[in-house]
This record gives sequence, C-alpha cells and structure tokens, in this order.
Amino acid sequence: MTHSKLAVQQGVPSWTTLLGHMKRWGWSLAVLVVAVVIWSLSLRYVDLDAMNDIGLLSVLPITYFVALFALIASFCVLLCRNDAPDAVLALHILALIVMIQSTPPLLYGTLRYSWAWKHVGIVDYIMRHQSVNPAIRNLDAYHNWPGFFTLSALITEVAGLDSPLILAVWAGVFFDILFFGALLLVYRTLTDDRRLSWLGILIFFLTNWIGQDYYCPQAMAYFLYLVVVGVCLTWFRSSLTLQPSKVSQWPLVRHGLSLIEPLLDRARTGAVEIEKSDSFTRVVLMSLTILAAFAIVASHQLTPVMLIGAILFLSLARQINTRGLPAIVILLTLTWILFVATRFLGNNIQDIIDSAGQVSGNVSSNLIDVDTTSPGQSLVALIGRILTISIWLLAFLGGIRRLTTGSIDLAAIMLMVGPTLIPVGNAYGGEILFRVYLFTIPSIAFFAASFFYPSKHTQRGWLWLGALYIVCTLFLIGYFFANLGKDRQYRFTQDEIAGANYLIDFAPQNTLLITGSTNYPFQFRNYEYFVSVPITSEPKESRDAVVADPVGVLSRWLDNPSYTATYLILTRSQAIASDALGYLPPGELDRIEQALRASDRFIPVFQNHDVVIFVLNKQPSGEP
Amino acid sequence: MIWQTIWLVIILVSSGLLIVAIQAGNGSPGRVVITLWCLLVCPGMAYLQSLHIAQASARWILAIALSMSIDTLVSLALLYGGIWDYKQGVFIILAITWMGVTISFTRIWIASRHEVLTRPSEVSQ
Repeated sequence: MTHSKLAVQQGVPSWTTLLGHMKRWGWSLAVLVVAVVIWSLSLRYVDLDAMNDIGLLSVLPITYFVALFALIASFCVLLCRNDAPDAVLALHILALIVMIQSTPPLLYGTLRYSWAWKHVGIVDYIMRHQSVNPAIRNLDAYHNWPGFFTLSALITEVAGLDSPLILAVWAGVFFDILFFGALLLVYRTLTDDRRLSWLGILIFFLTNWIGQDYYCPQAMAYFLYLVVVGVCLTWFRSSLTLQPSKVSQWPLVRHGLSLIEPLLDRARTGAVEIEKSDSFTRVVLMSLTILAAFAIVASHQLTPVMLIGAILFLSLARQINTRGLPAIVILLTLTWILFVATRFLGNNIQDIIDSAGQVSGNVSSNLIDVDTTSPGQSLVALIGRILTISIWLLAFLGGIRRLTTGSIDLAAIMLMVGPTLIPVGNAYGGEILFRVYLFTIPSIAFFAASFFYPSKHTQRGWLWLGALYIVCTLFLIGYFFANLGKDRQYRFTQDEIAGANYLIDFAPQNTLLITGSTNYPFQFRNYEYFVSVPITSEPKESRDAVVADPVGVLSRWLDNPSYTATYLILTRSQAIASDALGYLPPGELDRIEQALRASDRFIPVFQNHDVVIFVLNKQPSGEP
Repeated sequence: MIWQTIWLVIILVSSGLLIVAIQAGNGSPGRVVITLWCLLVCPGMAYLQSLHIAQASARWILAIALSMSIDTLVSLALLYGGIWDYKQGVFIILAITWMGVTISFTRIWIASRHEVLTRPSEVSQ
C-alpha cells in the first residue's frame, strides 16, 4: 500500500491532495497570510493613550480593518465556491479569532476587564487556603460553585506559576477556539449544507459581542454546554420515528401524533445522517456528557439550567434519545444546590423568590440608562442593541426562508426555547438578557446564515455574495463597538497594577478600602483582607454627600476603628468608568482627588501617573 | 491503528515529561506548555483513541472537554476532601490517563487480532 493510499484511509490528506488544494485555493491562503501580516503590523501604530469614549475602535488604524475585511471577503468567496475545503475555511475562522481576541492582550500587555482580576483572586484564595469559604462576605457565589477556580488553581500550581494571570490574559483566544470546535460539532448535526454551517460559525463570532469569552466560569461552562449538546445531537440523535405504545393508541393521543408526524417528517429534511457508533463509543460519550454536566453544575449557577432546558426540549421534540440525561442533570443540579451551595441558597432565596415571574423587571434591569451615560457610551450601547435586533431579524427571515424550502429545524428551535424562558424565573444580577443572548446565539447565527443559504441546492451569484459581505462587515463593525467599546475602562495600565500591588503588599487583614468605583484591577491577591466600599455603588444620598463635602465625608468613612487599617484609592480607570457610565457628575472623581490632595487630613502614601492611595492623617496641622 | 498507537505512546511520553518538569521545580514556559497539554488534552485523548469518531476536529474537542471535566472533578474532590495538593492531583489525573491508555490499547490490540483472524475468510470470498 502506498503512503498516499494509507493516508487517505486514515483520514489524512495525501501530498497530492494538498498540492491540488494549494493550486486551487492558494489565493485564499495568500489573502489570509497577507491579512495576518497587515494586522500584526497595524498593532505597532496604536496609541492607546489616545483612546476615546468609543473604546479600542477609536485608535485602531484603518489597515487593521482592511486586514479583517480582506479575511472576511476571502471567506465569503470561499463559501460561494461550494467545494472549498474545510481546512481552508477553518484557517480563516482561526485567523479571525486570533486577530480579534489577541488584539487586547498584545496591545495592553495586562489583563483586560476588572472581573477577570477578581477571578484571578479566587484562584489565589484557593491556592493559599487549599479550600473555599462558602460563607465569605465578598464574591460568595464563586466559593459555592468553585469548579472553574479549582481547575485553574490546579493548572496554575502544576505549571509552577505563582498566579494564573498569564493564563487569564490569553483566555479569550483559548475559549473562542474551543467554542469554534464545539460549534462545528453542533452545526454538523443541524444541516448537511457545509456552507450553512461555516457561515453560521462566522456569524456567531461576529455577533457574540457580550464578552463572556474571557477568564470566567461562564466561558468554560458554555464550552462544555456546547459539547454536551453536540454529543447528544451527533451520537444520540433520535431516529425521529414514533414508537408505538399503549398510550399512542388512545384516540386523543393518536390524533395528536398524526398531527405531529408530518412535522417530524419535515424536520428530517436537511438534518444530517446519524453518526453510526458501537456500544462502547456510546458508553464513553454518555460518560463524557455526564462528567461534563457535573463539571458545569459545580462551576456555574445558570448554565446547568440552560443545559437542562436544552436537553429537555430536544428530548421532548424527539431530536435526541437520551431520556435519562435530563433527569441526571436535574438530580446533579439539585444535589449541588441543596448540599453544597446551601449557604448561598439560604442567603439569596428571598431575592430568587422575589424575581420569579417578574419578566419585565428582570429584563429591564439589564439595560443601562443611556440618559446618564456619556455620548460615546450611549453610542456603544445603541450599536449593541442595533446589532442584537439586526441578528434576530435576520434569523427570523432566515427561519422563514428555511420553512419555505421545506425545512423545519426543530433541533435549532429547541435550543432557543429553553434560554428564552429563563427571564421568567430570574434577573441573574441584572445580566439575564445577555446570558439569554449568549445561549441562543448558536441557533440565531444558524438561522441568520440560512437567510443566505436556505437550502442545500441554493446557488449564489455575485449579487448575493456582495450582500453577504456587506452584512458580515457591518456585523464586524457592530462587534467592535459593542464588545470593545468599553475598553477605555477595561484597559488597565502598569501604573494601576503597581498601585494595587502596593495595597495588597502592605494592607493587613480586615482593611477598609474606599474606592472611586469598582472598575480597577484589584482583588487578585489576598482579596479576603479587604472590605471595599466603592463611592459609585453607594446610595444616591451618600454619593451626593461625598460630592458636596468630599474631605469631611470621606474622612469620617476612613476614621472607622472597627478596621485594622483604612485606605482610599483613586485610579485612572475608576474615573473613566464613573464618567462614562454617569455614576457621578463628569470629572467628579478628579475633583475629589484634588480636594483630598489639598486637605491636610489626607496623606497620599502611594502615587504615580494613574493611581493615588490616601490614608487618613489622624493629627492634621492646626489640631492639638 | 498505527496513528492510534502512536497517539497512545505520545500520551505516555507526555506524562513522563510532566513528571520530569514537576521534579525540575520551576515555572518555565516548557513546564506551562507540558502542563496544559497533559491536563487539557491527554486524559480525554487517551479514552477517545479507540472510539470510532470520524472527524478529527470532533475528536480534539471531545478530548479537551473530557479532560477539562475530569480535571475539574479531581480538583473538586481534592478540595472538598480537604487534601488539596497539586502533586496528588497530577498523580490521580495521570492514573486516569494511563487507565484510558490501557483500555484503548487493549481495544486496539483486540481489533487488530480480530482483523488478522478474519482476513483469510475475506480473501476466500
């Protein structure tokens, strides 16, 4: 047997096949390489200090977008040629992920987004204490669902690192690549039209703007969720034939089934063949889904609910035949909540009960008030909403087109049903709308893509190619506003990190820390030592009092004998966030800083370009 | 089957390298890479090698998902068991990996024996 024959048998392309691909698709690979080169050169000419209120978009050179537009153009042309190899399309998606996701870490050199720093702090806690504290005052949810953090702590220690910071910086690229692989698995079960799958994946990455692909439990849980759904739909796909039973002979049920049967027949249209597998494969893969479900249950509060919804609705629609799996996941979830996260449940049960059924309240609590935000942030919020509505509208039209071609994508529909019911039950700390978007976006992107490719037999000319390209580039621009539009706040300088390190190194346990806002790099070491009081999170009366008399009010706050030490920290990013989101009048944190500097009741114990840390002067001049 | 066997050997060699890297006792980039490889790919890949999964991309993603799940549950067991120690964690994960290698190798060996035994009858047909 020749080498090439052996290679083909093993699923590895032979050299002749590769050479053939190179000749036919070399142009697209050349575009890809040129795009990556232009992108990497563009990063050299970014002046981060010039970033304005619309975030990273404001400082990226035009060549940066030329590179991305070229990459998307190449991808769209490949799609129109029906036989483009998967490997070439995959390289385009990978390049897109790397170009977008690695831009912030390469430019900033520090971890982006203040919550990511807090997550590093939980890992630090586990590494120092070798335990969690479910009753801890601050960030207690993470101590009750610590799966992601224990995994991170284990990896950090085995890797011989002192902190997971370096891993956290690159988590965006890592998780997006994992999402890509998991989506491939899911989309191959929804359609046998390769163009639809690949376009759906591209649209997913251009419209998944809510930013849950950073170093966080949601990212890991979401990846495992997609894998569980993918495994169920690939290896445990129902044959869609209704099994005769005694119940099905009852007149009413028989009549109902006769109505459903044609629907299921149509749902078969466009669905791929069920992957044949032996019993051992199915046992291993079912074990995988149960283990993954367990890891999800132990890592995140919301994802298990989404997972239960997904597999329950898929089972009810007879798309999968894992009838025991929903019960197992429900059992795992209840066991965790009732026996591990008991204390958290006890502390929050009233809020959970209060928000149940309050759909309007749960949804409205997610939207920022654009009347109080800065003009740039209002524009960012507006474009985020337009992007969301556009993708939903395109998905709706795509769904209609699929219907007209005779395809009822029950599996994709069922994956949307569960998440959209969740706001009935909970506001999830004012984030439920974003999480619903996250969990519906695989289906939404699929239906949006089906607007362009409603059927396997659809052929597209240059006009449609142009329309597809324009839509994708508009989505890309929308993504840059919606996802990276807050980067003036989310980017932290080395000076700010130096200030945070000073506090962490010198502050004892039980330290009161007054801060301008919550937006700064902190809590990544010894986080339990501090009780933080952000001025912007205080009730309006307290904020007004601070604005009216910063020296008098803040000195009273700091003069608190129940704490071992008290500090006040003001940073560049706190002021930016306060101004952008309208917590305080514009420039107020800077005015507070000037007032404290001018007063002899405060001593700056640490300061650099972006940070000042004050302590209270217990014996100001003029007092005995 | 050659590729599957090579994979199993790679997994075994990788686990050996991880032990050496831990014994060397530093946070070098090499140790970070081998840690990520051995914790996020090898455990799952060890079990998936003998399965009939057509797509290579699916095999990789399932391997990472299975590895992540195994590692998470092992780390949780150490934490709630009050015996947190990363060396114990590595030992347990490597033991699970080696068990997967053994199962996969056995299945591959049985399959190859079966192929050898059935080949003459195929020829006679």
